[in-house]
Amino acid sequence: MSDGTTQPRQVWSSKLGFIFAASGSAIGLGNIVFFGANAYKYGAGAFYLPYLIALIFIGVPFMMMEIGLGVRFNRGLPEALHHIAGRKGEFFGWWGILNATVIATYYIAILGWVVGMLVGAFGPLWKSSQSLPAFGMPEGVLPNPFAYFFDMLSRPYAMIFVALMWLINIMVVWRGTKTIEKAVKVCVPLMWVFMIILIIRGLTLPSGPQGLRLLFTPNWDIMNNPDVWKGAFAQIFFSLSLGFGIMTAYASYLPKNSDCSANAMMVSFMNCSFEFLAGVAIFTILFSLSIVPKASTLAMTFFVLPSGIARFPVGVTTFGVMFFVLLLLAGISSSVSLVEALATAIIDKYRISRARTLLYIGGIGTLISLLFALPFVVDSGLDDNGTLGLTLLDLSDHWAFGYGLLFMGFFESIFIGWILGSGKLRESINANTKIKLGPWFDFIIRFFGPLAVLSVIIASIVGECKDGLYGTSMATGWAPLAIVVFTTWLVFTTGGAFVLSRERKEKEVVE
Amino acid sequence: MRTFLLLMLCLNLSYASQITLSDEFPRVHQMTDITVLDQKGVPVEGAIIGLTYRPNSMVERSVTLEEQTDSLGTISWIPDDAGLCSITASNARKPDSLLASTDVSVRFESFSPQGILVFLVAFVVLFGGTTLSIIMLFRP
Repeated sequence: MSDGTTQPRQVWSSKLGFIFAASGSAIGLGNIVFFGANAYKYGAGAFYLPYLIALIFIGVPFMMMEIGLGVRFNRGLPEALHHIAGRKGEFFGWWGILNATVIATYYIAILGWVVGMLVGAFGPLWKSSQSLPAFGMPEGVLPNPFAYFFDMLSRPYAMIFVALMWLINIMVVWRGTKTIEKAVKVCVPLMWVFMIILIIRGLTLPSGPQGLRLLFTPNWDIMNNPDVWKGAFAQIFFSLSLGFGIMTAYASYLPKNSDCSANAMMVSFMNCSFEFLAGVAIFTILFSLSIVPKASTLAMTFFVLPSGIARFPVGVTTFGVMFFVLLLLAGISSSVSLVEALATAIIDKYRISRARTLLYIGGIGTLISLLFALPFVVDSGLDDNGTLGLTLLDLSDHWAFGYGLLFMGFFESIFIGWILGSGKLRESINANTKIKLGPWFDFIIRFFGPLAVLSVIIASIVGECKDGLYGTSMATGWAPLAIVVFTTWLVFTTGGAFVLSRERKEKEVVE
Repeated sequence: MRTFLLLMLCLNLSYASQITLSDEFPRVHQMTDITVLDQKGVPVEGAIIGLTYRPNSMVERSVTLEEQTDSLGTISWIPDDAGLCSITASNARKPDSLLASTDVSVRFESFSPQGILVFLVAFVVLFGGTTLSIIMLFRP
């Protein structure tokens, strides 16, 4: 990690360090709860077929492409794409990084709320109900953990947790690969241990093992529904953190002779194996406690699963605390990678010191994250999102996460497949791998991958056109806010990428 | 994360009445009794029972039991699908007004060979892929 032109770029101290960091980045909050909710929605067992196909034909090749790009150029995404396609390439590189930055700001706000829930899990969260003064609701109107969550959101102290999470993130990336490796070597193994404990708990609940039958028994009738395939491809793309520029940034700290194929396979399969275990844990709990998976990752994380844990026959506090610690570990190992992707891109381009870069990122990032934690109540009936902060988060997530990653994945494959030439990348990967890539890799990067991602994007846009701009039909009349957030996202990512890709330092990047 | 418009779906609305089942985990194709009681514990006669198998999924299927609850507030039900099921009770005179709602897990009859196959394929592909890449990565 160069702090200027004089210091050599850092490298991961071991293969394990990179694997822990990259898999820790891929395994996040979404893996723990989103997969279970998605699998249930798309017909449970039948979902595995499109899911595995998406993993093998999109997930692994795209992961190879992103890691191969980082190793080949030893630079973050914008600089790597600049090498391939000049300013146009760099523009899309920055566009991806800026989308990842938007995601980082609200992801860290969510982690702040996880800390708040963790504090509550030592006692108050498990009370049957509590009052919500900011929403004008006396005790007994709303059950916990719903009430606890919204009460926390409506109080300024939640903002302190958000600022604390930024501080932790900056500390973890402070010395680059050195500090990241130290953190992930603790977080990642603990995540696996906690997940296994959660599975054991799920399987030992009354009728818990029946949840396995619910998860794996297929309903093949649903396979001819294109939405299931769209859901599987989107799940793999989001789950593996593709299109963020993270894997390219992390891989840029690998030695030139690294085995990109094996590393990509390792990260992809490890991520999905964790998701497999998470599915088992979640389904056994859902079945035993007769909980219908509902709504969103946030709802599953903060209300649905905690309400299930509250009904455990024994060990409510222990398992509640463990659940939120698991979320925190998974979240931190992912959020640091988002921060690092931006830091790497800035350091690569402007050659300024890491400390200065991180102080800028931490300062501005904290201010933006605090917007997502604004405790003003805008929807006292909880018909929509309750507070202004959560409303902003929801709207930003829709654009940055729902579209940003997919567009980036599409353009990345176009630049590498058609401009650099997937054959060239394949050759450089094959030079140092035991798993040689054949021409099938070119076919996927040039044709199948972009078309599959494009079809998901088009399906999403068609849905958008049918339903109107996301958020404009909110019950509380926040249509102008939806338009403001959409415009801000567009200007920040597109305008920001335009400005950053126009500016060139005097001395070009040395290959 | 899609929080919008969906929070209310997650709230366990409190109803004046409640639904109880003779078996906490009914088994598919086996009879069980559904009982509807009002807030004082008095049986509700003439309630209409609606069932939604696999609610909130793409294989969701809704049916309404033909008969209504008897004088004991009870009606027999033979679940024809395993998995999660939402049960609602509504007033026969005002079918739109919900009296009570609950979710139950209907147990499977036996292991599905296809389910075991899906489990094995997913397990072998995912953990096999992880193992293979570990071997490849760390082999000298």
